[in-house]
Amino acid sequence: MNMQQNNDDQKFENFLRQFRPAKPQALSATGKSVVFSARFALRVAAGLLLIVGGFFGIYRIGKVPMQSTMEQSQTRPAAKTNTAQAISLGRLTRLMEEDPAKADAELDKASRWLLPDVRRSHGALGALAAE
Amino acid sequence: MMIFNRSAKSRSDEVRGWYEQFGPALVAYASSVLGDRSRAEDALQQVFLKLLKGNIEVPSPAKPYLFRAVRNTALSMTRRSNRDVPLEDEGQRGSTYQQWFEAPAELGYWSTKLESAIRELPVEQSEVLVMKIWGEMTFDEIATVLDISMNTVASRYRYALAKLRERMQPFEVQNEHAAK
Repeated sequence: MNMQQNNDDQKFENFLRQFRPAKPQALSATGKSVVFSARFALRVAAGLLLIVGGFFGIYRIGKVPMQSTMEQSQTRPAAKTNTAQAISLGRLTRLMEEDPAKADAELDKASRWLLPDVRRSHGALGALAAE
Repeated sequence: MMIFNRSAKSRSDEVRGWYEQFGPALVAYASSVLGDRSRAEDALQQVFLKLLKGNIEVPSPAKPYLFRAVRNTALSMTRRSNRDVPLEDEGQRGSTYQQWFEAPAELGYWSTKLESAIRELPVEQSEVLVMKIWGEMTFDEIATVLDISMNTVASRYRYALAKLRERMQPFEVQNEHAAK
């Protein structure tokens, strides 16, 4: 019984030896395999993206108010005044007390400058609205 | 200076010789520990580059030492990867996927089947199996690599062989018919 089992094991071992383990890649001279390098490159790219994104963000924060101020002063002087007036809490409170309908109209008007345009097709709100 | 250069060269040739001779078995072994061929290749490269660059004394015979070095590297990679977030999953790895075994075209399907049968084994069993069958090591050598008793090695091997046999049975039957 044991002899039979040993014979069977031997046969099975010989059968398994028909399969040869695949050869590894050639020994790299630099010490990094292709897969490792790809992972490293991905990490570096992600890091660079973060840095560039950070700079761009800072640049935008610094630039957008300047740009919008310039645009508003050139093209929409009235809108600038309206927005400034609209975000004045004291003025809105007074209006709400005196004339709620006028306050509503003022808020509607101001919202065009203060809130993002949801009808814009590529905006984040547009994408959310589409879901 | 000449002597130093010659000895550095002979050392490099020796290491490259081991890579040629034991590389396939070592990478299959690392794959059985890591469950992933690409990472197994990384482990192998790390070990051999240390040998090429460093001044490491390799005992004779080199084979058990090399298996142990690959095992240690693979285990430390496993510990590291448990902490890291994987960059890609099994499905995304498709394009770089490399089979563990080479076989003639008619055995192609069975070579994949063998690979998945080995993957399904517990690591303690699969590593013993790979060292015995493809590393052509004795139980004594395997016991040295794993730092366990020979009896434990033998019992793990028998369990592994039995499980593998169960999963590869249809092929065995087919193979016997073909032989007749």
